[in-house]
Amino acid sequence: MSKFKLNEDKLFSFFVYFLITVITILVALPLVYVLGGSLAPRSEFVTRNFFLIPKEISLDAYKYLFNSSEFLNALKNSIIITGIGTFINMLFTTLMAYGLSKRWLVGRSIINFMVLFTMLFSGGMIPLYLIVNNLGLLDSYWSIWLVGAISPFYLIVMRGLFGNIPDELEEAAKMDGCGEWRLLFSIALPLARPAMATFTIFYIVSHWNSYFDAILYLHDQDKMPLQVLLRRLIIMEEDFFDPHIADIAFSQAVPLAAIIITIVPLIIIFPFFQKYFNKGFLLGSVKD
Amino acid sequence: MGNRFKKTAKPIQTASIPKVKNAREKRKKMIKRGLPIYLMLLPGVLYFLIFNYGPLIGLTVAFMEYDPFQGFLNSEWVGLEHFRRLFEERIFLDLLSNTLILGIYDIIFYFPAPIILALLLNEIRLRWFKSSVQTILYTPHFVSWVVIVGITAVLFSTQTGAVNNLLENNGYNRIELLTDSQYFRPLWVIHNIWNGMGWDAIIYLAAMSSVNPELYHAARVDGASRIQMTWHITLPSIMYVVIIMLILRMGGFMDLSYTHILLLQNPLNLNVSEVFDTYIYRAGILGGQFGYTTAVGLFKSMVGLILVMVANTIAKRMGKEGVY
Amino acid sequence: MKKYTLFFFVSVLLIGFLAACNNENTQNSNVAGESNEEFEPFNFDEHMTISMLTTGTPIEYEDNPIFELIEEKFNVTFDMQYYDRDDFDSYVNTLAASNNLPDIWRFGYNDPQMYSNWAEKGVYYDVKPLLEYHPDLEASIPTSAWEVLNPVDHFYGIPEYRLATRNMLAIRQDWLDNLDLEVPDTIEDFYKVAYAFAHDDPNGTGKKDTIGFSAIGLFSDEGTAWRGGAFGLARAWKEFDGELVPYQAQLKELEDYIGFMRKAYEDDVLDKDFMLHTDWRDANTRLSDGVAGIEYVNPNSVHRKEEVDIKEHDPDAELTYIDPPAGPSGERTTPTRPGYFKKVINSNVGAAKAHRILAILEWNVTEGYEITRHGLEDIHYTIHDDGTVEELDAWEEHQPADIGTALLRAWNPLHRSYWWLGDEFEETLGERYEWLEEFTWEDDNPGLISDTDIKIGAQLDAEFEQILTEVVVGQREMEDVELAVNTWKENGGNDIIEEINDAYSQYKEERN
Repeated sequence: MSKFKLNEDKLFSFFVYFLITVITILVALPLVYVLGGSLAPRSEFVTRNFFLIPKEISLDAYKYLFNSSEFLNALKNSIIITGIGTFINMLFTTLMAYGLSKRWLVGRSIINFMVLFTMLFSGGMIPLYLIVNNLGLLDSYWSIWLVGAISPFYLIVMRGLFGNIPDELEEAAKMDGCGEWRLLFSIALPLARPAMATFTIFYIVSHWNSYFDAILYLHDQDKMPLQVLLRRLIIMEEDFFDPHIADIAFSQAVPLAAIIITIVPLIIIFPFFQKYFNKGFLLGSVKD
Repeated sequence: MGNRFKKTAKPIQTASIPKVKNAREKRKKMIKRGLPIYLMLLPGVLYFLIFNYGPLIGLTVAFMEYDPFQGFLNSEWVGLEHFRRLFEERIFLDLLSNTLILGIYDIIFYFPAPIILALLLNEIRLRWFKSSVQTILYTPHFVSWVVIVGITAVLFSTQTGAVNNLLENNGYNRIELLTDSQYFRPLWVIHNIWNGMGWDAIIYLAAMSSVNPELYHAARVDGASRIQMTWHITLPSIMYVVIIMLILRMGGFMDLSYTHILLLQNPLNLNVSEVFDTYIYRAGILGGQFGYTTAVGLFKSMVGLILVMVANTIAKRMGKEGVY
Repeated sequence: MKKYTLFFFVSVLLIGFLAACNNENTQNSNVAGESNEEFEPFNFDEHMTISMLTTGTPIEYEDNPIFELIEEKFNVTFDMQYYDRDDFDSYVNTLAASNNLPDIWRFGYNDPQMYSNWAEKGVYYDVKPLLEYHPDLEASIPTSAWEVLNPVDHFYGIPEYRLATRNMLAIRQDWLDNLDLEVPDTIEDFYKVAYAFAHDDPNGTGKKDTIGFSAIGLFSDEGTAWRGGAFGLARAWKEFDGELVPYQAQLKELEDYIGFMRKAYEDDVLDKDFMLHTDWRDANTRLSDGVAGIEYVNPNSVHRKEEVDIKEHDPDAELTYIDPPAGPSGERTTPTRPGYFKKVINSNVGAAKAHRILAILEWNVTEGYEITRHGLEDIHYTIHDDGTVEELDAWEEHQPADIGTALLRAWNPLHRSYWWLGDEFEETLGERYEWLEEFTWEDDNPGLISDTDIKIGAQLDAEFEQILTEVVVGQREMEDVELAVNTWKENGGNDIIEEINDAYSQYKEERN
């Protein structure tokens, strides 16, 4: 009986590994194209020899993007926007998600509905701009940080994850005379580390990738984040095609290289968060 | 929740006054207990009021001939004129059915994909394998639709696509993947899965990591196989997240990524690819028809609201927790 | 209970913000008339800050000697703002709503309606009275460009130069030679050559890997010209006996054109992916890829792009630039773009500032002309003893030519033919532009607008093109060309025709 189980488990395990490998290869192929393409010289695109891996490696596309005098400044701006922005996001979102996870809270349902409502209805770009303008936030990073301070979607999902913390734990803490704030910081947050890690990375990514708020609310070109710079380097104004624009600007490699430049920092930081949502923390805390 | 409470509370109210007092006092007590929590909610609530509810004033535009120099109150009011135009639109039913069909495709084919992926990933024990695979799987999230559609064209365009050249060289017919309207919906869904599956799986993985390992221990002692544990422990344990995600997805049922569809759209697949979002785009190109496009958006939001409310009610009837 | 609370919350907030937004909208609707305001011409003693909104890639402002020169000369500081071209119009609308419009901006890119509406509301400064101080600026721009889209006797906005006829037709000379063919002249010859390109192995690979030509859908300005125009199709509107007729209603011409394309598709002469293309460069890639034999190229960059690319496939590859083919009635047309782009001045700037702005623009076409092309000697270029000019690194950094064209916009097609590219380059380019102008594909509609067109025009056109594309690829029969025309007319096209013609007769009355 148990031997049969073992075999079944092995078979299952084999099946899982096999399937994941197949899926990963299928997902990876276009990514290899992006990476390979970003390194391919223009001539390989033209002769249609280029498919996945370039015969010759050319860093021209990267040089073109890195060479921009504003690159380092834009990178710095992106880091500031992302860093502080994510901190504000997590502060606002966590407090609210934790509060709303209390099933006994009077008025919880109204606020929940109010949050959901904002996911469905939005007043559009103009009124929001008027408010940002009236609050004197134009041309300041506060516009970006505050306008996107909470993603209702992440808030609702995070609230769900908080709500999954066993009531007994909370009761036990109550017995010990813990106030709500201490409960949050010493019990709920450590327990919800996977959720915290998940939404931190989600917020980081959304700040890192966004350019729309920046071009809308910022005027000062020195404040622009990396995404705005990359976008402008890629989208060239067609009717001003200058005979003097570097040849590389014509190459399909440039937009692909921009993707790689965007992804690499995220891939580097991802593992730091990954370890939190890949293993549970609950067991330890229950036993302590 | 509140409704049900009200229904049972009413008869009691007329029957015995002391109990009402009791209930009121209890409520007061609960509010008092909640004070620190309300404090926690305050920044968030203020945020939503200022940056989400404030701009809702912009919805008045759906009932006016908006003029930026007159603003949201003084522009000319036209009542339900924009809505009338939408409902009388010759292709309204086509738009509705195309949009709904894509929404259904999304729920049936896309929605389960990240869940299945997360369940599979959860079964992987090799650390290095798991983390590298995961990194690869979530990376497509950062590739824009322009590039995704571009790569599809490089591979599948009828004239020069690499795959099509390969097919023809081996004596097969070329596949008109981008121009034949029958491929539009499957292609759209496959793009979505490629782009979002790994990313959305992260949420489910986070939920799985909160599952109490003792449950697995107990099951193993009882002789459960891994496939049984996945089915009977892991899946039910993340069901609440699945339900939340599903309800939220219903709210965005009519919201399709218009850049993606617009990029895939061409005259030969227009009959299946024209949806509200691409229609709005076309209508708004000229004349800045804010009034009309806002009205169409409002209509979509209303449909989303109804779907969310229905889904939420069903979830609650089934004894699950909804989103509000 | 909670529903009421929610409702209450929302109402309170809405009212609060209504009040807030309401007093925000104080944009003055003064319909022209500030031109009488006192100011002393060419007295630049008072320092001014000029805010300017434009599209494109930002140009370095700080420590840029070109900007410094302008600042000093005119005693101004520029406050430059840039926005993406994609949704520039909605951004300008947002600025208008918040009373944040800059002093100068480019008017909505694709939207003549927006321009006219705003002109009516008095948002733009009428520069006509001030032009007496700036005769060189006025003379540098054709009168028709000053007048287009404007009501009689008002010049709102300064026209921006945009080459109307830029792209030229290129054919693979080496393929012609390989197949022993002559450069084609009539549309029939063209088809024969294109057919040979697709079927007679012009590149000698022994494979069927070439086509005649590609296209950008069926009706884009940039792609259809040599085909549609040759058959007498209007670019947009064409005058017949005093009435304007849109191309969607030209049944006879459409039948000829669609028939031509249908045959080309069936014969594998036309790119099978033509309906996927949205930008002229999509079609142009086929030339670079060595697939198509006839395609449009940009004269500004062809020597560094397509001429180089085709050599990757075949070292002997060579391009010849040819006249557009003559249609059955001898008509030849080249891709032509509308020329109503303008830079507008905010009506609330006052005459002194408007005058200062015009003075800067005038400088850009007179004294400053070479400075905003080549920059300053020994900073941006140096002249060698033998008279040749060499470009210096700072030129790329300070982008003088972008200040001259992208920002200030001198009215000159040759702005980009720099000294260091040699006289020959400038000459060739000049000749090519002059040559292409002969084939301008005029739109007989002088910028008139139809409400129905604005509301549903794009939708109708999409359906129109859908039916005709299906005809071309053989999913429908040729009879359905008529169906496409009738569907277009019945669903609103007739109204569009009527509205435009009403406006047209009024327009003609006003000008006579």
